[in-house]
Amino acid sequence: MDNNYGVKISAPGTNVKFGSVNDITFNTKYPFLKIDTQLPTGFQSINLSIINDPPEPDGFIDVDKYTVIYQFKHGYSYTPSLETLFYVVSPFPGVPYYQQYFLDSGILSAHTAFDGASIYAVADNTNVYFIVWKYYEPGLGGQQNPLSGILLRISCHVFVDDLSGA
Amino acid sequence: MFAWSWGTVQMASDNKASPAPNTSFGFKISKPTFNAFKTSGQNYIFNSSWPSLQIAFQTTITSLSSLTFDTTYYAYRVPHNLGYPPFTFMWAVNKRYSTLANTYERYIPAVDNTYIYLQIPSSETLFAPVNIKCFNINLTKDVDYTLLTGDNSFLAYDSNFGIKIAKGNKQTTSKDLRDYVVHSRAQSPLMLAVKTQKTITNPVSTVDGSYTIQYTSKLSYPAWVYGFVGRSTANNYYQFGQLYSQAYPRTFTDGFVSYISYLPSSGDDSATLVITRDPMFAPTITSVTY
Repeated sequence: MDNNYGVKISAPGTNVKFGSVNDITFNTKYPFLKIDTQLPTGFQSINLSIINDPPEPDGFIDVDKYTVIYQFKHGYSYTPSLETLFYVVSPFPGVPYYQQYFLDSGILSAHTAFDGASIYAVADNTNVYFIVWKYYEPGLGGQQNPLSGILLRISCHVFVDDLSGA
Repeated sequence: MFAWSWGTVQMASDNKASPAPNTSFGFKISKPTFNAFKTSGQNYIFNSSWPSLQIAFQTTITSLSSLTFDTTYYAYRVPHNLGYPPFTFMWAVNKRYSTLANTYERYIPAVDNTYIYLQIPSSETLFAPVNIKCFNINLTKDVDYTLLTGDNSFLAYDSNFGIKIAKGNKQTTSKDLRDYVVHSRAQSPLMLAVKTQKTITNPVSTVDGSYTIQYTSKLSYPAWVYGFVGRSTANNYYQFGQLYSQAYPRTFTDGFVSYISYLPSSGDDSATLVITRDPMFAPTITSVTY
């Protein structure tokens, strides 16, 4: 982020030295957030079909259950920045609550405030993981949340940029 | 299209357009054999008019105890000093699943003209390290970018064509794309629009006294939508609107029609939708089952 070199383009009528962020249409002062166009895992559209129901917690001692339902190697030797867009193409039939659209994490199924099945996307220095988190408390009216039959379309951006802040 | 069964849906009319500055100038690099003056869409390797996400400030917090805890917003705060409330992402260690305790998840923090506030959903716990990236997108400024076409083909890379500018202490011979400010082998997600309360078409509050900002994407696939509610009287403090019901602020979207409401009686006097899209090349299509 050096001011002494690079390329800066402003809108017509705007002095390139003084334009605000909205008036400068291109400025190499600021690094681009980058996706490698040649890395197949950099930008994926993933159709994720849940055929087998991820395990439920027993609901008494164990109210939480985490299951990695899909993972892939992202191709970097460090932890990259990651963003994911989830779109539920087919929800579980009859489920009273779910999110059709969410970013990074969201609810696939819920009946009450005391149960739910969520999915979230995370990355470490090797893989990107999609993790289902189920919980329910039957003593408070919670129910299990079967997920088999759900179809998700996931847009996944694995950025070149790491999390070092450099 | 909306699947939520809880909460109030208060759609409005789309906000008025605020065309981006004229970008018919700058520089364009076409693929070999294509005329950069005449071609369009996927035939460009690089176009300075693409409204890319650029990082105006970034940092990594290794210890939360080194930060000031803001008792107004109940969040650790980090100065960015950009002078405007920037569109910001943060990635924090996620320890919900103990077997994978070194994974990172993205969150959208609150911001104001001076600080980033490290807020995450109340059901979760914030752990360090936390990486923050603020973009050169001002949440108070409306802008609509031209809907570009040409995102349906694979972009083969030819090292004999393109542009690359290395960061200050790096070399243009580096093979590590992290070392570059810009490199035509890489692309960014693109901006579609920033919509604020300034461009509401019909600024009439609803029964509960709220006002709604709305945007409809013309993309053929769901856009990336981020809603915020703000307080100009509090140094332009903007808080992310979650996408689930019973949240305030809450962003409503199916990826096509998006809106967010703000409630002046709660102290909020502004709101913003930020809409981004996929980069200008086709994704790898993957089909998997569990």
